Amino acid sequence: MTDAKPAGCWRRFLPVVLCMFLGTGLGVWHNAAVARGANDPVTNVLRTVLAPMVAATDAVADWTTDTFTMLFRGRRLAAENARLRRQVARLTDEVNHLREMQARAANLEQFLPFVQSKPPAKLAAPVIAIGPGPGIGTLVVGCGIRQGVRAGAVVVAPQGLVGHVLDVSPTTSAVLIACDPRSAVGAMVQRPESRAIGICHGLGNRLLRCSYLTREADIRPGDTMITSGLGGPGGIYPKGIVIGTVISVQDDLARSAKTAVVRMAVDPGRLEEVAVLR
Amino acid sequence: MTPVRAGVLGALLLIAAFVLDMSLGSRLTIGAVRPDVTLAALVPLAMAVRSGPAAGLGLMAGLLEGSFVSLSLGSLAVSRTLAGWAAGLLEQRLFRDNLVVTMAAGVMASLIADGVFFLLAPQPLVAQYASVGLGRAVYAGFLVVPFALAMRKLYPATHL
Repeated sequence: MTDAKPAGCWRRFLPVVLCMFLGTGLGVWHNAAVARGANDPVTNVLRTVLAPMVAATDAVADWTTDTFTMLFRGRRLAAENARLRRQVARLTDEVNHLREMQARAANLEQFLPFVQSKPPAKLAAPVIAIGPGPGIGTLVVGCGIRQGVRAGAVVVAPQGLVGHVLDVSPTTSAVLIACDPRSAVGAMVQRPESRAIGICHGLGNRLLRCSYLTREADIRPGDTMITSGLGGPGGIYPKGIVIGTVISVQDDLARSAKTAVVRMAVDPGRLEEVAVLR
Repeated sequence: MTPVRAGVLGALLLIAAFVLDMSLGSRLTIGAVRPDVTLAALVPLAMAVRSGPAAGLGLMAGLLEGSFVSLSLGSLAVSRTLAGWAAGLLEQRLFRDNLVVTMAAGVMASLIADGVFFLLAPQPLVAQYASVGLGRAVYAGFLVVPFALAMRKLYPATHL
């Protein structure tokens, strides 16, 4: 009777202890692999096998949503369509103006002794999944080692910066979104008369806090923030990618500096396709 | 149903729930609260088996989530293992066919999972994490209901 109780206890706790050891071991293995810019075989297999299933389910969900939207929101869609047509017309006009400016800038650049930088190649990739973890801003995109993606590659969307690649498997990559609290991006005010420089740290929920701005920095709500090309993990973000819009500015009296809250231009929850810069 | 068949069925159900989680999870987000569909499926599954296999299913849920999150894989695996094991312990103490019990177990498992995850991988924004964690727990409480009803059909009153 006295022997039976400890044996029962041991039998009850043994599986959970073994599972915890196994989970910890796999976690350590995974972290070591990610630190080398690779991925562990377990994650590789799981992601490679499950990514097509997730993509297929996502496609079915998209189709269903679109069908129901067409059925029940026809009038609202017509209004939205008209608004978007007006927006396209305005943007086309803006693009034409910018093309002209670009041509003039290219002509003037010939007379300047600057080193010409080649823009990075873009690789289109579908968004397969948006991070399920608590407090973690990651997403999985459908391109990996086979397509030439490497850890640290910058990921963008038409609206602006998304983040950078954390790890790669043969056909997928995990991306750390810029608004994740572990992310830091060198930032700059786009307005030509300001160009104030700071560092944007993620706050979650599409928000970033821009700190290390000087007290004299000319920054105000409505300003567009772009990547400065400075700092970051290995200086990975090239200059000029839109990060987002300043929504508030505070004086940080303790540090005799300013801080600003920036809303990301990209809504990570609605991303369907991104481009990986190579 | 044999224990092996029940275990394989449980693993397949968990994978199916995870695929749903990845493809529909962001569509089910309310405010900043994204539901953990995988955990919601894990709870009634864990309550249908004993605590040992439940810990194994929890580990599997953690590895599935961790493989897509990439960060904190070990912390996710351990926290889900403990959540699954705790839900599995209830099987021996409570009447699992009661939906209210299952909903309470869903809230408890979510709080355990997010609490243990926080201890293992401390988050920089504590207040935000806590408020989102509470929201996820409430969400999990409701989300376990469809899974529990499906589990009743698939798992008759036998144990692994």
